[in-house]
Amino acid sequence: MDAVSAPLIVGRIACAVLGAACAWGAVDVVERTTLPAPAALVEWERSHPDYFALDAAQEAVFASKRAEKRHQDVLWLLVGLASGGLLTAVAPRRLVQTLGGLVSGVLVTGAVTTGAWALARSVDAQHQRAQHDGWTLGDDTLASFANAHTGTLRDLRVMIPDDHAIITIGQRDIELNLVSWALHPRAIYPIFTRPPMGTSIEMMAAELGKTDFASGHAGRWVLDLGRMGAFSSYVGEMVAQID
Amino acid sequence: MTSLAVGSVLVVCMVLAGWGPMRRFAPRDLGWLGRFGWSAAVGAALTGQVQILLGLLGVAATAGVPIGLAVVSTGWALSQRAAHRASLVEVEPLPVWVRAAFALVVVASTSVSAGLPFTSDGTKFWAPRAREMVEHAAIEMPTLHDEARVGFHRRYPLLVPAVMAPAFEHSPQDAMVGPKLTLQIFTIALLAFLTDRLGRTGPRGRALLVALLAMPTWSLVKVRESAVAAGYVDAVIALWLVLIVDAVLARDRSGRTLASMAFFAAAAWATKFEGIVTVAVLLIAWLLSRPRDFRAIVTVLVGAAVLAVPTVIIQQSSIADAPIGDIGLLANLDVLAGRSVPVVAGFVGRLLDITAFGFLPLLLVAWLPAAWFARVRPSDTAFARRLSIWLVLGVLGWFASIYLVTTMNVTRHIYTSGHRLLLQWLPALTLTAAVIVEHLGRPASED
Repeated sequence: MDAVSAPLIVGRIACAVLGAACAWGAVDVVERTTLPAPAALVEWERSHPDYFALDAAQEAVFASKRAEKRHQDVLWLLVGLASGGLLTAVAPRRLVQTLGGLVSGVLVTGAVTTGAWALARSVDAQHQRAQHDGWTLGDDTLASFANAHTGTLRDLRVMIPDDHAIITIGQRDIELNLVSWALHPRAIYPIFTRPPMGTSIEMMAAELGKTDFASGHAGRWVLDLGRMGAFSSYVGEMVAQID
Repeated sequence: MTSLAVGSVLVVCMVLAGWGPMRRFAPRDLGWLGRFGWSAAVGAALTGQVQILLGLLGVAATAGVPIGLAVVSTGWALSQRAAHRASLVEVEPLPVWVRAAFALVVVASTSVSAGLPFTSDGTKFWAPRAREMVEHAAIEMPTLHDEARVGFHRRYPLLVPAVMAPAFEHSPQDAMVGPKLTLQIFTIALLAFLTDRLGRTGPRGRALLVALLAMPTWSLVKVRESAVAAGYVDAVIALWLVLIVDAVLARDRSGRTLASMAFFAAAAWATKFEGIVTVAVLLIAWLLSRPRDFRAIVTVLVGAAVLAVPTVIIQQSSIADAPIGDIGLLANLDVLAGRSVPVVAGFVGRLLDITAFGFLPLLLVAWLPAAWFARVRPSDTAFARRLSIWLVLGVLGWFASIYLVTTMNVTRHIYTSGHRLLLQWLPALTLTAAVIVEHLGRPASED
C-alpha cells in the first residue's frame, strides 16, 4: 500500500461504515410513521409561544403534519446517505475523483438515489391518480379537485345563471375556494360568519333580501358553505334565491 | 384535449416570441439548450408584460398577444440570422447523459404540472386571476377593485396570470391543462438554461447539475401539491435570478446585457410580491462585491423601475391587502427571542428538506466554504466568491427579517412556505457555486 492510496482506503472504509450505519438507521425509521421533534426545540416552543399562536386544534393538526414530514425527511436522508456511502465505498477511483472526492461522492450518489426514488414515486402516484380522475390531460378536470362536491357544483351551475351573484355564508375555506373556482363567471360575495344553529337557507335569503349587499347583478343567491361541507343530501338545503 | 393543444401552441408561440430578442441580446457563449431556455424565458416575460401594459390601457388579455409577438419576433430573428451566427462563440456539445437527464426531468416535471389540478394558492388566486384577465382589463378586474367580492392577495403582481390567461381564453370551462402547460414553460426554461451552463463546466459543476436535476421538487407529487399549483410560481423568480446572476458573473457591462438584466429584474418585480426584494438583495450583493460597477447597477435598477411602471400602477389602484409584516415586532424583545430559535431550526430543517431539495443544499454547504478559502488560482474566481458570500448573507438576512416581523405564526409559515422561498434562490446560488468550485473564468474576465 503506497502513501497516496492509504488515505483513500481509509476513506472508503469510512464510507462503508457510514453507509451501513445509515442503512441500519433507515430500517429503524421506516418502521415508524412519525418522528417527534428534538426535546430542546419542543421545550423552547412551549416556553416561548409565538406571538401569533395557533389554537389547540390547529396546533394538533400542525404537529402531526410536522412529525410526518420530519419522518419522511429523515428517512430519505438516511436512505440517500446509505446508498451514497456504500456506492462510493466501491466506486472506481477515477469516478470518485471526478465527483470531487469521497465526501462529495457520497452526497452526489445520494442525490441520484433520492432523485430516482422521487421520480419512481411520482410516476406511481400519477398512475394511481389517473385511475381515479386525479390526474388528467383531458378537458374536464372538475372531479380531479372537487372530489365529492363535483355533483353539487354541477347542479349549482345549472340552477344559477352566469350573470347572477352568489353570497356565501360560513368560514369553510375549501368549499369557498371550490365555489369561487367552479362557479365562475358568477360573482362571489363571501360573508365570513356562521349562521345561528337552526337557521334555514330560506331565513338567510329573507334576511339578505332586506339589504342591498351584492346588488347590481341580474339576481342574487345565498349559499351555506357549512351545509355544503357537511354534504347535505340535496342542493335545495344549501342554496336559495334572494331576488 | 382541446386545452392541451391550445397550451402547446401557446408555449411554442412564447418560445418564438423570445427568439428575436435572443438573437440580439442573449449571451454569445450559450449552446442550443441555453438559447432555447433564454428564448422561452424572454418570450413568456414579454407576453406577460405586454398583457399587463394592455391591461393598464383597458384591454383584456388575449391570445393575440403571444401570437403577434411570435410573428414579429420570428421575422426579426430571421432578419439577423447571418449576423447572429457570426457572433456566436463555439461551444462543445453537451454530453449525451446530460441531455438525457435533462429530458427525463423535464418530462417528469411537465407530466406532474400538466396532469394535476391547481391546488391551494393556485385555485385561490393564480388561476382565477388569469381567467378573470380574459374578461376584464387588469385595471378594472372586479376581484381587485370590489372589496365585497371574494379576492385573495389583491395586490399580487400579474405576470404569471397574464401568461396563463390566453390558454384559459381558448380552453373549455373545466380545463386546466393548457394554462398549466404555459406556466410550466418557466420551469423548463430554468432547467434548460442551467443544464446548458452547468453541463459545460468540469466534473464538479456537473455534479452540482446532477444534484439540481435530481431534486424531488421538480417531480414529486406531494411536494408540487403543497407548493401552490402543481406548477411552481417560485421557479419563475428563480429563473429571473439565474439569468441576472449569469449576466453579473459574465462581467459584460455592455448596453445589450444591462438592458436584458433590467428586463429580467422588471419581470421579477411583476411576478411575486417579494420579487422586487429578491432583485434588491441581488443588486446589493453585486454592489458590495464590485463597487466599481455602481453605474451599471443603477442602470439596471432604473431600467427595471421604468419597465415595472404598469405593474406598480395596477397594484396601487387595487385594494390593499392586510399587512403581512409588522416592523414594530422588532422592538419587542420577547417576540424576537422567542422566534430566534424556531427561525434557525426552521431553516436548518428546510436545508435538510430532502423530499424537496434532495442533497443539493448539503453539497453546497460541503463545497462552498472550502472553495471560498481555497487558494488555487484565486484570480479567476475572486468576484464570484465575493458575490456568493454577499448573496448568502443577503438571502439569510432577508429570510430572517421577514420571519422576525411576520404577522403569521412563524413556525407554520416556514413549514408551509420556507421551501418555496428557498427554491427561488437555490438555482442562482448553484450557478455561482459552480463558477467557484470549477475555478472558471468567463470570457470577459477582468479580475
